[in-house]
Amino acid sequence: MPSPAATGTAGTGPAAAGSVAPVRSWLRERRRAGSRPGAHAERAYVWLLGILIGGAVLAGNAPRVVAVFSQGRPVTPPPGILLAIGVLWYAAVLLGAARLGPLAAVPARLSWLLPSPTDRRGLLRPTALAVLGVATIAGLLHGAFVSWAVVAPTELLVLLAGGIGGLFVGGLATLAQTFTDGPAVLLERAALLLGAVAAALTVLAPPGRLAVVAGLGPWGWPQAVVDAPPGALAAAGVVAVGVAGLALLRLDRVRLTSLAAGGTFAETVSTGVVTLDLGTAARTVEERRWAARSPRRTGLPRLPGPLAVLAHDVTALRRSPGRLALAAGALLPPVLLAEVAGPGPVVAVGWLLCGFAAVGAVTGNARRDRDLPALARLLGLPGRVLLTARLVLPVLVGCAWGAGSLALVAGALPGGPTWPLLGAVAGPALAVGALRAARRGAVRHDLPPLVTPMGMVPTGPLHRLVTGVDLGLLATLPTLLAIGAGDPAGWLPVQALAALLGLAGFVLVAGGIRRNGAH
Amino acid sequence: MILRTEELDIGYRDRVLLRGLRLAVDAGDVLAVTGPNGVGKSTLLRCLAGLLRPLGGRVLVEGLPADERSPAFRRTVASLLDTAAWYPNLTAGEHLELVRLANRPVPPGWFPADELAARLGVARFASVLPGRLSTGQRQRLALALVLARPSRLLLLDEPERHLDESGRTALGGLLREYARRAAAVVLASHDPVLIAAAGAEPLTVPARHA
Repeated sequence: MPSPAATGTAGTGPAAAGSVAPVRSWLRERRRAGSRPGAHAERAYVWLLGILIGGAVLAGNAPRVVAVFSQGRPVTPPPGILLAIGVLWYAAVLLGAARLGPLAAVPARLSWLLPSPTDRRGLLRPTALAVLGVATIAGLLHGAFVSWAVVAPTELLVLLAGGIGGLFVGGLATLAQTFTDGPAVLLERAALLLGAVAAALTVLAPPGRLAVVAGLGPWGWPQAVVDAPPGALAAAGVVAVGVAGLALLRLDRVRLTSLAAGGTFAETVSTGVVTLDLGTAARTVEERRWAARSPRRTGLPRLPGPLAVLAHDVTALRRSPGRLALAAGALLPPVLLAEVAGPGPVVAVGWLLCGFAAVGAVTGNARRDRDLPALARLLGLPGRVLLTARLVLPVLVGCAWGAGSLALVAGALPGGPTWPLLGAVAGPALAVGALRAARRGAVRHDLPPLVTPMGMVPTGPLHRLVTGVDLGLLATLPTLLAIGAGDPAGWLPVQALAALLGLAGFVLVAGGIRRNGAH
Repeated sequence: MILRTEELDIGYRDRVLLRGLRLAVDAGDVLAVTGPNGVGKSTLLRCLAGLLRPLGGRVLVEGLPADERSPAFRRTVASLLDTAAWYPNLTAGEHLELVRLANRPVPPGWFPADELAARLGVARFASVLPGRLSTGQRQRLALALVLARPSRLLLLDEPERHLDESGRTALGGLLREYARRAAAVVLASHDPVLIAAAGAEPLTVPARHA
């Protein structure tokens, strides 16, 4: 056993933190010593190959991208809609930050490095810089969108304003973690508030003055920079850098518990991606989510048989209002897409994916029945009866979401009150797709791989990706075609028939499969 | 006094587990918190480690409120509460080196890493990566790591888990020695053998009655 180095004792009085430099250089040295011979050359080769392929792809597509950005939108979308998109984008950014911390640490660092007296600010700085970098990129993407939608050819100042907005929001999210024990709750509430503002901007189309107030945030900076005096952008930049700098300075105030939650989430998700087992990762995330709660009211309503299963679904939904908020938030992207892009396949695909996300909020119990057959056996109901009972709530949510989302779309497209009716009728079809997706289980590694000139492609992950979307797409095809064409006339009876067929077929086939899975 | 609690209430927002706890732990003390599952032993340790805020009252470590963000607190308190985690790319011996480096300066006379490794049996697998260790070996390594860093208050949650009899005896002896170095130990345990080997004074938390 080599004796540990007792170096670097300067500045390590009882109240002072130890310097992070020796730890960092030791870890770097170990990494170097532990790597195989030739690992450097291999890494350099991978980097070079990546740069060459990436460069070729970029160079090939650059003219098209330049053309898109130099032409911009033929019709500029209304300012309220543009603002709503920005607000919704930042709500999604904050939701991501809430899930990840935004600062997180892997469990090994939490066990052995962060509880040591080594300077916590120094240990967390690289993570914080990465968070600020990702937030700035998110802001730049928003700036690029606004630039495309409002001012063609692309104006660098608009892009810059987006980046500054992103840095500002990233800095605020990081700063929040240095002040509170539970930054996730704070960030989730902020995201919820922004979601409500986006909904108000989309639905109510508030008068100019109110919209201007809502546009004062970083989600409005890229639009504002077009008419604003140049000094305003510089001031915003100074504020953003100041907030980010303050967040970096206060990193030693971050508590271990707030770093643990995001680290566990990131590790679960990355393990799920690496092992191609997203189902287990989703289940772990779900279990952790519930483990952090304690319901105020307990006990199920006394209902017999299949109704008890429905009561279970309703109870689970009642205990997770966040899921309902997510379903409500998913109402907005289709109408915003319709306002910006007009009727077409983009809106149709967006509507389908948002519908899956909304109905997916109430399919957790069905997924568990499928993944852990012991639970389904405990319920003692025949497969079709259990499946029908688990379908009731998704169908109701699907109908409500379908009607709501297409009622909003009706404001952007011609067709009047037929739209919400069509959406309501398509609800069961969405539910069938979402439930099939929830019950797809683990990736099937037994499926034969595809042989392509680029090498073998495993079909298991692909199969898992399309399971659920396939049936959902088929059963909602009439609505998708209507959205694509921008006209709902005549599609109502066809959609009703497709939804009924999808529903009956799914219950008969999927409910009849007997599983003796051991997982 | 190394550790003192004043009218400490612990638990969660809707569930109080312990009320009005007054503890005074001085140098040389080894305190073993015992009691049935779910009475709040682990929650108490998390509170003492500054990881969980008490519902009421105060935790004072060397006269200052417990706050794991303070470097001085981190120099005083070492804890092994949940299952430990590992760097998959560092061997058991390298984990020991890293922990000593991150917690420098190590005062002269503190448990030498070699001695800890030998007494807890870590020396036998010092050059092995954690992924290839058994659960018991990992627990031995975690204990060696938490003892390798200099501290004055050691908080351990069921340190006997996965250990065989020789491991528990070795740990008991080490805890006695740790306490003799003008330090204190608070552990939660269900193992009378370990409690006796460590010479610990038991503190039984009674089950709550609804």
